[in-house]
Amino acid sequence: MRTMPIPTFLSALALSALLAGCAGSPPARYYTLQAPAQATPDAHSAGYQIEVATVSVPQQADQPQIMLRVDGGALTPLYSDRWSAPLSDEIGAALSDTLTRTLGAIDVQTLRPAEGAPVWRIQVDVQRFDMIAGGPARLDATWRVRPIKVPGGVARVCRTIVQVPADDGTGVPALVRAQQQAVELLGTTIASAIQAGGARATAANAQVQLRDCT
Amino acid sequence: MADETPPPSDDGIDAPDVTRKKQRRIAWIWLVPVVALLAGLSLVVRTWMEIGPEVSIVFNTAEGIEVGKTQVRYKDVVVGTVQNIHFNDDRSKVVVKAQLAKEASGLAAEGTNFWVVRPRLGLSGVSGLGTLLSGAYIGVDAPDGAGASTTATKFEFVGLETPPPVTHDRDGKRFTLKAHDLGSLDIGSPVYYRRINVGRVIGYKLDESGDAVNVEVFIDAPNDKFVTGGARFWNSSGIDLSVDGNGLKLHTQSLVSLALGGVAFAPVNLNENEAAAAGTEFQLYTSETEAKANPDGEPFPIRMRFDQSVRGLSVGATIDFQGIALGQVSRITIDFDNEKKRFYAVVDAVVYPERLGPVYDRVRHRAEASGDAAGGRLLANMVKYGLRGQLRTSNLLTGQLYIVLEHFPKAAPVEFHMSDPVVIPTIPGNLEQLQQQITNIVGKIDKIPFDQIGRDLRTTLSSTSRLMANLDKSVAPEARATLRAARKSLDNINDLLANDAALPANTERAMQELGRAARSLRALADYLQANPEALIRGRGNDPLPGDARN
Repeated sequence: MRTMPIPTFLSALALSALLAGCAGSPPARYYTLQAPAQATPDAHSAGYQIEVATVSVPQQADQPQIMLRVDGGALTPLYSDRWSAPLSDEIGAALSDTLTRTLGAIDVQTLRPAEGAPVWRIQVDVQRFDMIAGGPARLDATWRVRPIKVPGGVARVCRTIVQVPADDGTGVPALVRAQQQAVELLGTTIASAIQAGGARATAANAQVQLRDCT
Repeated sequence: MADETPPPSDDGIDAPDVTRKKQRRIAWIWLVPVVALLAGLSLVVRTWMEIGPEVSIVFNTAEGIEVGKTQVRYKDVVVGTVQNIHFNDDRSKVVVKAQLAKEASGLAAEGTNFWVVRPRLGLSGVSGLGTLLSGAYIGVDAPDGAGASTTATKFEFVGLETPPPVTHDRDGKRFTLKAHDLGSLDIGSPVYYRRINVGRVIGYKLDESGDAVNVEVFIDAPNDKFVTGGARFWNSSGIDLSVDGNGLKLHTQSLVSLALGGVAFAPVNLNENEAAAAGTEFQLYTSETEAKANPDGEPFPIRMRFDQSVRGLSVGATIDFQGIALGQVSRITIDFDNEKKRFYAVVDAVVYPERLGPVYDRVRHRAEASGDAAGGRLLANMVKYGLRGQLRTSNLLTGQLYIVLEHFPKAAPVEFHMSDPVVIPTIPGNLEQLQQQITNIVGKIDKIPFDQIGRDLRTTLSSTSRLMANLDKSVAPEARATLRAARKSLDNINDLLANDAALPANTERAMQELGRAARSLRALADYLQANPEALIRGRGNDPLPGDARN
């Protein structure tokens, strides 16, 4: 075999060195906001169905990876800790889970309700979805429930601020768990409004603040 | 002494010296008659110088006049005596010769009036009662003042049978009123201003043209200054009774005017408020409302020519302008036009421009200011802008016509000359024009070929019915089949697009997948922007201070 020309040999050597120098990527972990499945209470079907519309989330949180808030205005992207689905779908699924469980009604967002059936339409607009390093998880959402063909129902718009501290164990899982609880509390609050026919909304517990309800 | 005496002889006696006295021609005794003559002459001369003029006055009768006794009095001062009364040549009148005093010789002049003052009963009362006791006398009335003459210039006078209504020494002014008829006025009828008697009627006379009565009134000073240029006189005799919607109204001036008749005046036209000059002529209106209404003013004769029948137009028909009755028709005649060989009607009418009111005054002043006193240019302008006369029906039932003067902007232009009377161009009436237009339309309709149109229509209809039959037979079933097929397609489409049909759901899923793909691409691009070495070296550890890593 003829001797390889010097440039070709050098480049082959460099390439092999480069490939050897590549470290592998650390494994990616995926999180979800949907709480683990809980036992459904005995079916007491409400006389209506619900429609959870697509949730809108702020753009800074709407990333495939978890964005950790350090302090002030700095956000750290954790490329190894990712959401399993786009954040709006995560929050929507978690809310739908909570609401169907609490109200006993079916979510007909995809399957389309029947003609003339009473439906409560829920629209949520998340304004703040903060996961603070070592600190609380904050969820600030403006939501609206509107009755369609529900006799005696009125629409209600409210703003809810939920702040859940991360249970011990700093780290991303704790924060994710805290956010799960925050979404569940939000869902309970919305359910209370629907159960009252849109007349009033009740905060689920002390971590929930209700503002400017009309 | 004629005889000569012989010379004295010498006989011892001295002859006496006889001196002859000069013989006076005239004896002293003649002085007496001379003196008497002179005295007589001087008396005669003095009397002759003191004698005034002798005037002869002609009366109808010498009742109450006595020669030598009857005096001539002026302002109750005796200025003369009647000297002689005799007949004139044909014994129709009595000539009274009176001698006037020297100081009063100026009375024998033009304008002096003589009359016999005796008890008289007139409309204004009894006069001359004093003469029952003192005897009749001849009264004199002469103009006095600065223009009075001082020398006798006229010696023959015609005496008045009745005393003059106004003597010259009375201050005041005379005016002439033109009245349509005398009414119940007479000499002595009072003239009222604000119901105060300020003068009286002193005479009346029929006008020369015979269509008016000239009544002369005398207004005493100082009230004569209230007779201004714009004052109007009206006959206020009797009572003025009016019954209308507002009720009954009764006006009188005074009881005297009820009996004697009376004239009243008031300033109506306040634009002219200088006192009128003596002798001014005024119009005498028949009532107060008429006097105070807009005057008719000067009549302005016009003439119009109508080429159409004027049946229904009568003398006295109104001439209407902008809704105001401006005048009336006075005469209708027929004339013949040689060029067009047809008859036409000539209507003479009289308009009163002052009925227009203040507009006319303004326009007239402006016309006079621009030097067009007769208003000819104004009228020419109006005619140029379309002023025409037109006959119109005032009553459809009786067919009565009246004439209206109006601006017709589309009227054909007409040459206009001022003439007497002014000729105003005319245009045919609306009905005439309508008739002409209808005639035109009927002529045009006549020219339309109806049978040709009918024939064409028939052929068109037959071909149309054939076409319809064709359509029915061949086209209709095809159309029906097409409609059925279209309905089937629409049903299919409905199924396709139903709520839970596969097509919309698949489409939605495809959109979602596209969105997710775009989002992933975006995330990749963002990550690579931040960590471009990840292409070669892969994803590194997350740079997190602290113990976030498990």
